[in-house]
Amino acid sequence: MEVQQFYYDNKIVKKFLYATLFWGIIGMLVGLLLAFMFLFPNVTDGISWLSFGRLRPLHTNAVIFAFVGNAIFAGVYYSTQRLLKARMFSDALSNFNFWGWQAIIVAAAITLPLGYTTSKEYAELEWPIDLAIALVWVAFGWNLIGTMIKRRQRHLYVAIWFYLATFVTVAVLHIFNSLELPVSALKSYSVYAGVQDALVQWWYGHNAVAFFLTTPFLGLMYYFVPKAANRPVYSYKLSIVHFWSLIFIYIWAGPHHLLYSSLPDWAQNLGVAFSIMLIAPSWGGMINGLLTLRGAWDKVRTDPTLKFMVVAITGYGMATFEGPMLSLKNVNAIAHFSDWIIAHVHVGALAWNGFLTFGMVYWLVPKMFKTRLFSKGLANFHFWIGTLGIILYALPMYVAGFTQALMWKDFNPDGTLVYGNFLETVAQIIPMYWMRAIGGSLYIVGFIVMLYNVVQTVRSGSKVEDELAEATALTRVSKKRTAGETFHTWLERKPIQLTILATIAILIGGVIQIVPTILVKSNIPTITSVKPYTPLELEGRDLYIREGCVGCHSQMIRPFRSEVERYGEYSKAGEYVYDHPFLWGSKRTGPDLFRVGGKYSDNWHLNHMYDPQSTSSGSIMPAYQWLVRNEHDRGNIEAKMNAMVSLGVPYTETDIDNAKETMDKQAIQIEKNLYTNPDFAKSYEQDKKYAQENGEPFVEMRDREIVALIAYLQRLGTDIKIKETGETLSKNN
Amino acid sequence: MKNIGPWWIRIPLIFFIIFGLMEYFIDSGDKPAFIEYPITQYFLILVLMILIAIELIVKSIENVMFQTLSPEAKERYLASKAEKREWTWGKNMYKKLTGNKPIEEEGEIILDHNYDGIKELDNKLPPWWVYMFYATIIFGVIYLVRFHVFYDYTQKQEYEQEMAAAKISVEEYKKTAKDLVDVSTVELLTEASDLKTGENVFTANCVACHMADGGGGIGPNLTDEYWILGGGIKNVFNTISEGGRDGKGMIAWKQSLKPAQIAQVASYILSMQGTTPANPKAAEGDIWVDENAPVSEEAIETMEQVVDSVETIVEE
Repeated sequence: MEVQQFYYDNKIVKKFLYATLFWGIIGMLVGLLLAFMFLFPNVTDGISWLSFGRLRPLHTNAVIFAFVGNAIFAGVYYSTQRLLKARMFSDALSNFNFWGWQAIIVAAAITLPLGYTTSKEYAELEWPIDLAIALVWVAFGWNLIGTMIKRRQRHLYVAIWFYLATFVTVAVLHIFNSLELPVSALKSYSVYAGVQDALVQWWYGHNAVAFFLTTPFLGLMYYFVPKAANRPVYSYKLSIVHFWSLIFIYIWAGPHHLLYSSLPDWAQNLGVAFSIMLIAPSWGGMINGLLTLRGAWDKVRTDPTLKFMVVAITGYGMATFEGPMLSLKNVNAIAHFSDWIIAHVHVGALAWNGFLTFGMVYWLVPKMFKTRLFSKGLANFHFWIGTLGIILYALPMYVAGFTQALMWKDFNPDGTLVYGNFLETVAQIIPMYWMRAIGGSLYIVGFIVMLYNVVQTVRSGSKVEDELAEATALTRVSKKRTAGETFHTWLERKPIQLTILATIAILIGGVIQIVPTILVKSNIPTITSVKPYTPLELEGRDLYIREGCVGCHSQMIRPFRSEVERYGEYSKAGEYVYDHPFLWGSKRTGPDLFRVGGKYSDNWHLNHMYDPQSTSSGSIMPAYQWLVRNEHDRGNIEAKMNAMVSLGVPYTETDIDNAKETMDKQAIQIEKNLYTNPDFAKSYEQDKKYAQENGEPFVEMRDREIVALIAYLQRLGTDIKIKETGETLSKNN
Repeated sequence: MKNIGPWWIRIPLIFFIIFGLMEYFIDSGDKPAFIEYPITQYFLILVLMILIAIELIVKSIENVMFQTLSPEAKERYLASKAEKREWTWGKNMYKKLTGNKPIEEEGEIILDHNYDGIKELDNKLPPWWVYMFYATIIFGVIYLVRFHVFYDYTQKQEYEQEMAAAKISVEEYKKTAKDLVDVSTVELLTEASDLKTGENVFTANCVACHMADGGGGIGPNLTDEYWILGGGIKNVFNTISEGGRDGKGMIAWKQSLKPAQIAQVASYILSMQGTTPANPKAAEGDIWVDENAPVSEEAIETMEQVVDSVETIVEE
């Protein structure tokens, strides 16, 4: 048998490593800025592209797709070549993968702060960028599978199975969740509406966690933990069982993000049942990782890489036990919409993804630069300050979530809410937000220390060069040699069959939940009084999407006494049928807005947007003054309405032809309502006069953005609105 | 007793079991029994002393018996005692549940896999993990059968039950509660302390729209004799509690203010009648004259509309 010589591509790994570190610090600093905005809401006063609603998706996208994403590529490109004993299939594809991914991140970093967003969580990027993601992802998969085809290692190691499942599932998730109808170059509407959009989104959102933050990292764990510990993997059988059960069951659990919502009961309950069944498959990964360290615990004490990995795997175990517990409906009733969920995801992100990445960096950098780590002491310092940071981040958020949720539900014996004013529950947890910001700062200090350590290590090392390796080429296996081979052993040498089988495993759950919800009419009972938005309201809704209001305000009143008392009648599935996309939200930093329509006057909304603290003392909402000043470009309304018609919204042709007039009429009415406030009338007339006298352009109130937003807010939830005063008043008579 | 560990585990364990049983069986309302009935503290101290006494007695009997034994018997006794110290059942159970090969015997189960130097062991699936997996699958099946074969309850039914229970408890409370103010019983308050509290409520909640001197802004002027939804304590109370005109007016404050506070702030507002604010808003609504009528015409009208709208057109 002929021994072949070849080179591992180390330069691509180096590029991805640098990108990981660069985007990691940026994503985390944006997160820290957001944490401080809870304490100083107007710290970025007046700068629209630095407002909370627009930066929140930037933080989540940067951390998930830029930091973790580049870490995945770095680890995958390093380990795949070695596990398959081959250079990557194509250097061109590798570089296309790298530069394409960075271009997407830059595009995201520009468009998100400018307000171009689909508002679907972790899928906020608009359609041209979605296309680019699909393209780059396919290039990555092509490169990965191509390498398998020309491999020199007969069987595929468990890490490779996880990489394959990641590639396939993320592709499926991304494509189906991003189906959207473009209206203009950077604006589109989701093809799904309301409940269906919610289900598809959380099928995606949940499995983005599963197949972007979990399976690729399990793959990395299976490579780097045994490598760093120099110990055999604990159990091959466990690898097989937990791999297949994990990818099969994970897909089903998406609806646990929508418990007690308007999603049909059957879909919710499937989500609950499969989430509970997910404990063991998830823990399979944890125990296989931790037990691999049997007999190497003395090394854990001294080796920074292993230290980070132990905390990472433990964090994974905690988060994947907590997840199923949060999927129990009675636990979810408390935790959902609260900071508890923020704590939960940050245990996953900071410990599992962050620490595993750090462990990998500390192992890879000295190896690639052929030197020793500059300072073990600094790495240990990073470890301890990072761990402390995680604890200081997570614990206060658990307390905050639990405290606030219980306050939301607290009743006086006379049937009124104890904390009827939402702000009282916010004021209560401000100290927790302080501690969170401190915890986050510590974590970032650790990161910066690592950056210094890495820079010093790189400087003392030699240039990264492609690494020479040799292995014998694969020859055809004879029937004799494979006689008595088990099914899985066979599968492990058949990358295509393995890919197909994994695809089937991940499709079943999604198909069973999503197809009926979209096709079976009875799942979304219709309500005749629910009508499409007026053109002005539709434009206002797009502003609501642009500003990222959904980041802090839900539009989903759950069927609880406390929520009905606070917000009004609980939400019905039929009320969302024209919502492309749905805007249910996942976090209540502020109150639910589903039935805010008619609750306040137009003037109140104007003042509240201009200076939230003037109408709501102690509010932590930032001011949205540009909405009050900006002229509103409503030029696209016909295209928007036509797009809605294609998606099944019953606008007539006359509606569309008259759209501009209808908008003007509604806007003038709102302007008239605003005039009832003499203060407004006076200052507005003054501004107008001043502009005229000085020959400056003046935008009439009716043409400004705020008017459309007020129109939308006043419409919210009014289609079936039941005025709660009716009952009490009639009792009094 | 030999089986439940050393004395420092045995005594607290039994003590807390008895403590727990006592709390469980004595009905002491909201407070724990040992606070509600101090006598139980003596009982607990007694229990503790008896437990210690038993320990001491057993120990000394053992010692006395031991001294009476022959040297060989002494040795045998010590040997058997040392053996018993180990909690063999627990140890075996632990071994059975983890099911792993000791590291020293790893060589027997190492597979001939070699992935870039990574080897794999052929440890069997940890039995505790397998049992946990089975348990969760059973949970999942029972859960789905319960709700989708036997239709135990839906989340809508759950909500209706919660509301029904709440209604009963609120009615129960109102039967016995004293000093409840509502629109039919509210009266104008004139005590300085009430008006002071009313002023505080006003400053905290109302000035954003009505100005500190009641001159009006977003909301109407409160110092003149014109009222949109009727003047007089009852109407003002009602307007604050239930909110103003839909979509134009004020929110309902009954969520954030208690009825007594609404009465105080309503009285404070009425005390501003006839004052001259710095920047008065033009009058809105009608002159309010008849102080004896319980509720104005307009208010009744809006109420009726509202009652009508309760029967909305929800089709599900």
